[in-house]
Amino acid sequence: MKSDTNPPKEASKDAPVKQVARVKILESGTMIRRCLRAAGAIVDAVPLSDAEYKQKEGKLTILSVSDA
Amino acid sequence: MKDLILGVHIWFARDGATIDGDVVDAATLPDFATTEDEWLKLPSVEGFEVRLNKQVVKRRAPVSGGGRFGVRKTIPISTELTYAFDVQEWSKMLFELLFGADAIASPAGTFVPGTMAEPIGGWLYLDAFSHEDQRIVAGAVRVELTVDAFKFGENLNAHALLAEVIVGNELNEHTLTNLT
Repeated sequence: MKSDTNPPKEASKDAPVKQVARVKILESGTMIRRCLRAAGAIVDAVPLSDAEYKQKEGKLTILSVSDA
Repeated sequence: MKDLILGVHIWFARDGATIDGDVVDAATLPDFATTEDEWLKLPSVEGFEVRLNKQVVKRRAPVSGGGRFGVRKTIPISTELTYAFDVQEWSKMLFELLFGADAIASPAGTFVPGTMAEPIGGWLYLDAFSHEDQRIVAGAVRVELTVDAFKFGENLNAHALLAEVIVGNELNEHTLTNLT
């Protein structure tokens, strides 16, 4: 008799791991997600690519990086 | 220059509210253009006044070539800015302000007058149009709200909505358009 249940798939080792950053805002008015942030604010869970882009522009500094 | 009658529309993003996953506070201003639906629309505005009150220290010294004292320099030491709105409708939040009550359950619930621990803070978004429907001024400021008496021209409104602007907030910004 055939089982209808498929065995659970193992996560692909090649799947990209989404990373997020904890950042400190350097420039007031910097937009993270859909909010403007004041200088000095700490914001969690910022997509790493967005954080790195804004860090290059001098708008924030990345404090730490973790997996989402 | 132009003759101007302003029609003002106002919205509020209250501290502690979650807008698009972010909690509103003094350092977090939701972008009005993309989150308008999540702001609280405030009542229809019949009258709008801006009251700017500066406290200054006046340095006095003898006038040149004489002995009488005159003002030599004025040094501003503080700025108070209040937006006053003569509003037409009442909402749950305005009743909280009127009775100084802690949060009232929505849309109806019991409340205890005089239990409000802190002023209601948040972001006020103002969008003002001319009588020709041209946008004149728009933008958000950090405010604390109260309901109190205010005189609009010759008319006293015993229960005006007053927004004390927190002038030091770096995210405060208005944009002026269609005026030369």
